[in-house]
Amino acid sequence: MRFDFYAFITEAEQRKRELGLSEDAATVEALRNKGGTRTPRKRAMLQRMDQRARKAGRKPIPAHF
Amino acid sequence: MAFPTDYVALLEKLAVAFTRYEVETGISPMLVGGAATAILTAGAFMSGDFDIIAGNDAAFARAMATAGFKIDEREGKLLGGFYHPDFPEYGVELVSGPAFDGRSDWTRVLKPVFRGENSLTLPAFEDLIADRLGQHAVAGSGDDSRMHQAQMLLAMAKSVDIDYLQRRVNEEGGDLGLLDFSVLQ
Repeated sequence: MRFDFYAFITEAEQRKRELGLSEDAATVEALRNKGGTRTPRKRAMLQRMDQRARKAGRKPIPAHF
Repeated sequence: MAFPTDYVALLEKLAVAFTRYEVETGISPMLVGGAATAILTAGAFMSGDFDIIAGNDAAFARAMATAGFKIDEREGKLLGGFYHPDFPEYGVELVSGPAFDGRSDWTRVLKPVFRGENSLTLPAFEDLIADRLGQHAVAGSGDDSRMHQAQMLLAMAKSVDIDYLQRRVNEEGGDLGLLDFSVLQ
């Protein structure tokens, strides 16, 4: 099914508000993979992403690895 | 949490690569895992690593190069991944397929379109919910993140094919009873 990405995001944000879904820090963290079952390859990838971001002066995307 | 502007810009680049790959091979890659979940939950959480299934590695590498992605390598060693120099905090990795071991119904895939032309291909909500519940089943104690992701996906789905969802959750080894279906009302 094809749909417009930007319209979908707008509708999804509205749905979150209607359902009263929290987006506080604790809720976001609860959704984040804690990393316990990551493969060594994935851990290395996440580490390289972190390093690239720091080297470029960008904020790394939070991830447990 | 709304998507950061650069995240959407990266998705647009990725959609260029997906479309290019589909033109060359006749079938689209599929974005799976946490990044697909982040998109379908409109950024309820962020996942900076993109797991992609594409059957033709060489064609995928060409498509990614067309969209400006670079091969992720270190000390001359290919690492099977890609990154975009304008968005160094993100990474893309090819995952061996087929998607969901060939058990998903391809006619149900979701194709968000960017700027009216290029699109990504994502699993149906049912397949992604099943995948998340299956991942939860094998996650260590103390990590309920994939269960929470499944619940959030269900809330965003608005409606699901319950028979298909039940079948797929069973196939992935998950427990449908963990979900609160009242969010669909």
